[in-house]
Amino acid sequence: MFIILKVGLMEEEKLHRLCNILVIITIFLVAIGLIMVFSASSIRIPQSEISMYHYFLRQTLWAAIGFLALLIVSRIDCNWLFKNSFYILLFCLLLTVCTLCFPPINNARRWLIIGPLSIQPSELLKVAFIIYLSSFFSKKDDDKLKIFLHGFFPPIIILAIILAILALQPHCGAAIFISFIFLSMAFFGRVRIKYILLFFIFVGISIGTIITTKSYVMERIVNMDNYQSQHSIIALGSGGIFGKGPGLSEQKLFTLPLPYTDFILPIIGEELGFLGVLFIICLFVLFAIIGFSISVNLSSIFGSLLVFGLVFSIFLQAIINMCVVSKLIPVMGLPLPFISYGGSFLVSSLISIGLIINLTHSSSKIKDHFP
Amino acid sequence: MIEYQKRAVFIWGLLIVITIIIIVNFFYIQVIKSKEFKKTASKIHKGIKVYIEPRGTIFDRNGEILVISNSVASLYKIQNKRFVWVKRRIPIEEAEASGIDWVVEHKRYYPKKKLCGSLLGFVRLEDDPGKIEGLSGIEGSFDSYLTSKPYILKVDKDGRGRILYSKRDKKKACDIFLSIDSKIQFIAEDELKKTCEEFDAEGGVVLIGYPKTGEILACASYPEFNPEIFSSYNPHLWRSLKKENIRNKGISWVIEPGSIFKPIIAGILLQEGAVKPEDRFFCEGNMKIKNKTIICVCKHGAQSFKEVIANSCNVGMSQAIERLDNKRLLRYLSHFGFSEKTKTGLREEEKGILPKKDLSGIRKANISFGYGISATPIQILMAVSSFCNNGILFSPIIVRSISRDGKMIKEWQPTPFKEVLSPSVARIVKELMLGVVEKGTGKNAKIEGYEVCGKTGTVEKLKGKRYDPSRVISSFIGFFPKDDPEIVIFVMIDEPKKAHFAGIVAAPCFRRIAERLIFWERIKVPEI
Repeated sequence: MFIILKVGLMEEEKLHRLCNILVIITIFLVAIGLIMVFSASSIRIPQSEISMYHYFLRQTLWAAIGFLALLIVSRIDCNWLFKNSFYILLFCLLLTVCTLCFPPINNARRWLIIGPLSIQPSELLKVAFIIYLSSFFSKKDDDKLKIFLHGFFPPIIILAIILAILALQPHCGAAIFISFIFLSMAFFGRVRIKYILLFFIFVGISIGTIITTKSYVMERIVNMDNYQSQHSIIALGSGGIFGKGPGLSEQKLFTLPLPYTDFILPIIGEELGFLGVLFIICLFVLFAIIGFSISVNLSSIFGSLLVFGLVFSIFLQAIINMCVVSKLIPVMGLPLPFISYGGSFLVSSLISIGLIINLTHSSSKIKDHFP
Repeated sequence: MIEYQKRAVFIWGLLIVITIIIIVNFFYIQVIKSKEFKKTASKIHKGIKVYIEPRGTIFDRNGEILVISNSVASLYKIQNKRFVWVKRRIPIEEAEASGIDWVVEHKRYYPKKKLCGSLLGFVRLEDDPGKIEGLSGIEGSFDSYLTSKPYILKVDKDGRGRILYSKRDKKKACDIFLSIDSKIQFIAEDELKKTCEEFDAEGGVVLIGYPKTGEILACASYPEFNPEIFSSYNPHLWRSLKKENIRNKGISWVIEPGSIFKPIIAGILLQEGAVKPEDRFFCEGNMKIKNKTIICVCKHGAQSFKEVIANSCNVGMSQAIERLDNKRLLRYLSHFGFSEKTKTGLREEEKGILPKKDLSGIRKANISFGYGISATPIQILMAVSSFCNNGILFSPIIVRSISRDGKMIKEWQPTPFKEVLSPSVARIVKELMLGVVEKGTGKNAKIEGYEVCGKTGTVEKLKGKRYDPSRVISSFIGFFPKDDPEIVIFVMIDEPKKAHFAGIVAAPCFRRIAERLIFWERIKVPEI
């Protein structure tokens, strides 16, 4: 692993090859995701009005849209991104604010509902925020970054706004996740450790307030042993090493609720066993290794930061999801990237991949401060 | 190394550690703890289900339902590997809502209420899942056909306990088709009840047969019995029932037939040529045989054998039977099926008793007018039916067929059992019985437009060792039209209090039944 990291600046050809592997892994994960979404969502009672292909077809449509978006994003001018990152963020923020006008689903207003489509703009907001942070940190040189007001304060203000909106939705999992992203981006973006510790305190306070004000979050943390997690573990455990075989999950039979969204990994674990889960983990780890290798070997700071942020974001979500389903941490409401059912998230993940491709190929064109 | 690369390695290291923790955790859950979780999962998703096919339906000859099984649900649980009922016989919707494991059970439902009750018999709900045991009547005698064994299957369930799919072979219970005609049965029960109430009787029987095949069309007993009361939990009601109520007297009541028996004896005597209808007998009102006296109702004086029957003269019969030797008499009686069970297949059926070979003294004379011998109503009915069939005795049929899933598995064909009398003798006996209704004791049984043959009988019941003249069984057996009898009706009224003589008690009941049957066109109108 470290061999790839230590290479330093790689020649472009090698980077492109790594990027291709990354895309292949992505396609692999999306394909596995489609199959498993079909397996987990096709169970119907005879009276059901929804066809057994309903979720599978929708996810396939979203995957198609996602790959189209990937193609488009991989071809746009990255200098434009670099310069207009703030406006992109602003646009996504506005979209997210719009969700508050829509009627709540399951007591949360996270969706923009346009006809049959429901879009979750907070997924796009994550990507936009990463672009903004990369742009922001790469524009400052080391001296300016060391000044708190210049180098760290503006993004904190923006983060606070984002967190406020997410708390209103409410979407605590996303809020905590975005804070983590910010933390790691700041860390990777050479912000002083002192400031980051300060930020820790800030995050601590904000998380503290979220927990104490929103009773359902508290409940989740206290009540780790809830119905969904219990059955998640049972599904995983009953799968054993080799699993029950594709399609033969029992927990998806109305035992584990909504098994095709956040809790799809237990179904994979039940049907394909520990080996199946291990395979998925390995794919994500490989994804992360290659992503980081591309990141540290890019010639521009913006490219480097952005690829790091995107790869880290996807990998972190995967890790959090895995921790949730194996009951290491409380339920956060974060899906498994590329695999879980959910259109906005799949599209935003594929847009991330598109950005990574874009930057791998055109990172050198970006005119930023290179140390 | 450049600053951010250093930091990248740090972050990377952190993630590696977390990833390793995650993998170890998955390994722990999926490999080390797997067995435990598999057990938990199977508790949710595996189960057993007890299936029971409904108990068979009982139909009458026209396909009308007499008893059918309704589906109800019973809740159960498995406690310490043992099957325990939680609640039984509740509506299925209720069971579905309860969330407890349940099994479909069946409840006997009687669409015609107490009609045919004592013949059908009753059932008992057992502790075994879904088992209903028939205890009497058709339900009891054909229990092995009517029940189907419950079977336990391993099934997969979904998260809400709904059963997913299970392959099973259904082995349905059999349906039983009776020869009973529920309309005729209704008329019989109705008239029997009216008569019993009118004369304040203890009970009674009406048997109606179709002489040409030996089929029983009605088998009514009084007091009535509603088998449904055993389906409801009302032990108080159960205790109020006497054995007498439940019994199907038509097949299980062993009685001394009395004068009703005279046509049969007459048939035997005529067959043997011992008497001729024109032979003269003299009745003084009583007759002494070895210091015992046979008494007649009145002094009949000189009379032909035909008049002996018509007047139901005991003395004349006693004189006539002396002309036949004991051995042959007994052989004939057993030919007629007395002291043997008929082949109805009903297990409550009784045999009756024939006297031993020793027929000394008064015993033989007693037999001539139906004392000192005992028989069941159905035996008497079949014996008398043989006169309608040119002397051929049929086995009675109560159950016509048993079928499973529409496929016949057992059938009772009309079986000419024995030729007991020759056709000419049978014809003479019919003439004798016609005389009873036309001129004799059975005038009350006369029906306008028909030649009715019949015989009355008034039997004193035994009280200890003596006959009690205040407790009698008043009976009438008759068939018509004489030339081609369509129907045999046997009425027996037990201990009527307001009147004793059969001509007054039983014969009108016979007539009313017959008239109603004619009215409802259950009997062909003779062409004139």
